Amino acid sequence: MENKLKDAFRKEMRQRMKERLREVEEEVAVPRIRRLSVGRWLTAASVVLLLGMASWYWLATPSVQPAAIAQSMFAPLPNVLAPEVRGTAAESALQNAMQAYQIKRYPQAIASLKQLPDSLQSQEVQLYIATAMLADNNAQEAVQVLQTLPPEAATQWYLCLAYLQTGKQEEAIALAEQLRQSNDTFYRERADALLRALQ
Amino acid sequence: MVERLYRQHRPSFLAWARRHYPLNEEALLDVYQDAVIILYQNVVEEKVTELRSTISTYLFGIAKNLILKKLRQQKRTPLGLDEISEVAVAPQFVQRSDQEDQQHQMRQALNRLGDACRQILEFFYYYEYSLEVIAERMAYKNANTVKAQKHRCMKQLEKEIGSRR
Repeated sequence: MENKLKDAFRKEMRQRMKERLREVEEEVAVPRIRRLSVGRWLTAASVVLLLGMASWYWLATPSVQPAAIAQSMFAPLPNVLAPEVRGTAAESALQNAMQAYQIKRYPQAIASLKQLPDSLQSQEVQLYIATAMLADNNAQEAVQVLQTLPPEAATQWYLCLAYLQTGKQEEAIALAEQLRQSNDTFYRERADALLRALQ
Repeated sequence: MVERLYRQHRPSFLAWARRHYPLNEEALLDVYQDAVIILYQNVVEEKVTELRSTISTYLFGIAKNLILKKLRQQKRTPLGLDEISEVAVAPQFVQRSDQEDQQHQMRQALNRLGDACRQILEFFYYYEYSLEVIAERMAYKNANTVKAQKHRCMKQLEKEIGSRR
């Protein structure tokens, strides 16, 4: 009875706090725009102007720009493979490979992931290999791996970045356009930001 | 205190999480809210008594686990028809449903109690305050008065639960 009571209070408190934090979130998210004074608007306008001038200058040097944008927008995939892995030696090998990936030892991660037995090979493993290649500045090979995978949002996003890094801007834009229409909010937002940066 | 904590670490959480995890802002904020709540409850329930790192490291650690859990759930494909029938008759599934039912009954019974009773029980069973502290906070004469009142509240709660079965 005592445990049930405690549990009931815990859940109720959780619910109350969640409601309150949602209200706080609305307060935090909305008024930031409304409260801008004239002075701040002017500051914001001058920042936009400066950014505009900076991006014009940046755009005027097209040879490095798309690859630099791709690099700035690249983030490795979070490790959601290894936390579920327990048990056999082969599974430990996957865990070790993903640990290397997490601590950014990409060449080691790529080698270990490639050596995994067939039973553990999957499209997800291939995606991690490709993103590790991208992180390791080997976009050329990353493209080759990514092109063999099904066109899911994550795969398309990394292929798009890999294209940019290998100078295939048209292919990258075509993929980003497709992603901008996809149902995946996360990659849709990223693709949108990328296309804006490339304009 | 919780709201201040929430506001204080929100920008750095969003900057960190956006960089590392493929979730949209709405999902990240949902996780962040849950992480703040878990942190608070861990402190209240004394699961955390001292921190070996900064509070933001601890908070982001909780959030990271929640994000990974969310990502794993997203990766799961919907169950096929065969699997659904197996899950539906699995004993652990039935048991869980009973437990949820009991919890629901308990919460409804608590809602039917008066404010004073609810407060005493919450202070005593959730916050684990001593009778003396409750007497002081709720302006009762002494610990014995609280004890008697708590006893009456428990009887009333049992009655409320019994009457709805």
